[in-house]
Amino acid sequence: MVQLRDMAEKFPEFKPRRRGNEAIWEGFFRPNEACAKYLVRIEALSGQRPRVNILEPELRIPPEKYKETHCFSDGSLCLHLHEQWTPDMYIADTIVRWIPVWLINYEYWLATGLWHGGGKHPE
Amino acid sequence: MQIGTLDGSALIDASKTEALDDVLIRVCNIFQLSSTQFSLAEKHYHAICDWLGADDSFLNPYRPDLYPQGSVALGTTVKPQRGEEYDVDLVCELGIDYRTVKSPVLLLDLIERRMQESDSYRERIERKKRCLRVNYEHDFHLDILPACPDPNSGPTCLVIPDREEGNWQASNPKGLLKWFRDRSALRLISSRTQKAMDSAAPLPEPQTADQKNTLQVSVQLVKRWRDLHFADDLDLAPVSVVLTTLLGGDYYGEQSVSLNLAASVDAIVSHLPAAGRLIVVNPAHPQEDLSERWNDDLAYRAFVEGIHALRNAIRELLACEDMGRRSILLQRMFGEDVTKKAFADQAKTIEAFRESQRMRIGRLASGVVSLSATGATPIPRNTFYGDAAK
Repeated sequence: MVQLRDMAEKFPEFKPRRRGNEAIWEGFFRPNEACAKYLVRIEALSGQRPRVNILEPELRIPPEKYKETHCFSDGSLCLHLHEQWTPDMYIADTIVRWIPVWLINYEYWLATGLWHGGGKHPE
Repeated sequence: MQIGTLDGSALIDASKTEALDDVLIRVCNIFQLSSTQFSLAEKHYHAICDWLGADDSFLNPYRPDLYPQGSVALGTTVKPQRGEEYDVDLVCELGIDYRTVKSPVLLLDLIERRMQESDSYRERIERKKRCLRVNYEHDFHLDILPACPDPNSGPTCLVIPDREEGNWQASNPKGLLKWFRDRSALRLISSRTQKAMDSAAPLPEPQTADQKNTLQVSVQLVKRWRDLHFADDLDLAPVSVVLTTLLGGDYYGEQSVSLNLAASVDAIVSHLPAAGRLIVVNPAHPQEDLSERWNDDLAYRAFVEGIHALRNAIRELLACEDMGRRSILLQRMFGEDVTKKAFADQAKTIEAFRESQRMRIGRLASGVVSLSATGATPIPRNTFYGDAAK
């Protein structure tokens, strides 16, 4: 699968798995040395945007704060507007690169109580 | 943007220690006497100098010499707690042989008399036990402490009124200041500071982060911690000059604020004697026991307990793995608002760096995927979003 080949080239450290015509990767991210190291799962799903979940450590976000930290109601991350990712884009060029940006903003949110990474909310 | 704090690029690539030091410096900047207040204080200081030493001032034969001491002189100011005002401490040295003066209180009388000769000062002055307070509408006051030279003890040595009995007490604020500057010069955040300090301006120039040195920031942080830790027991709080002297004595040129705090506080704990109390004298005048308040056992024990608590807090802080936990600890040590604001300022700096499209993807030394200011992999623009759930 095209995404698998591409990811293997650009981020060979991520452990890949196939699930039918979907793909799942798990890998570590650490925005910088001031931040913790996070184990992240990225899923390439058919007919949907990729799903991103933080596996470890557990996110310290209560559900009522999902909106302000740009999480979906299932706790996965919302890294982009609908039009900013389309299936013809490589996950390695987009989703993966947005993850540490979200993570550093998450930590600053923990530190300050405010989200400093910008973003929008559906109305 | 203050040069002593890190810019976006440096923050992204910062080590754990560098990032923590950056927050600590920002915290300090927030609670110190501001440049505006500094300039105001300096203006008032000069006006008092002019009045005391005016041609027709009766104090003229005594050649009054007014100069700052304490935190304003050292560059270690800390915002006072709960509606109190900053103290700007001034020494007024009068050229009188103190052995001919029956009581130190008479010196205070002289200065008070001269100040009362001015309509505007008469309204502002307040007689304290051993100094004359000059009140202003800003949130600081100037305290004038009378003094006589004590040349037998040393070139800059003085005698000042003591706190209780109306006797003379040894002091050497100029000597302490020089000692502190020499200690702090062992390593500087910015070398521009050394030139500014050597020029011996009447009031040191207002310092922003790019002019502060590690020792000054360390002293400010420990004073601030003291204010919070002893908030309910102000009488037992260790006095600033003692903390300043302890930290100055245990400074060996460490550039990192956090590592210096850890090392210095460890050193202070190691100085605690098994029997009796720790004695802290003015290094420039060993007859001046700066720690005399520790003759009170309660106060000394409070200090011992406090310094151990500080040591534990610093160790915990250095062990933190993420900014959330770091922030909680820093809030406890230095205050919620200043801590959150310091982190927010860092976050805004990083966000601006991201906005300018300079943020990259890279790898840490361990190989883990990270942000980078210099990596080859750019990050396309994105907008965080969400779903309609509340």
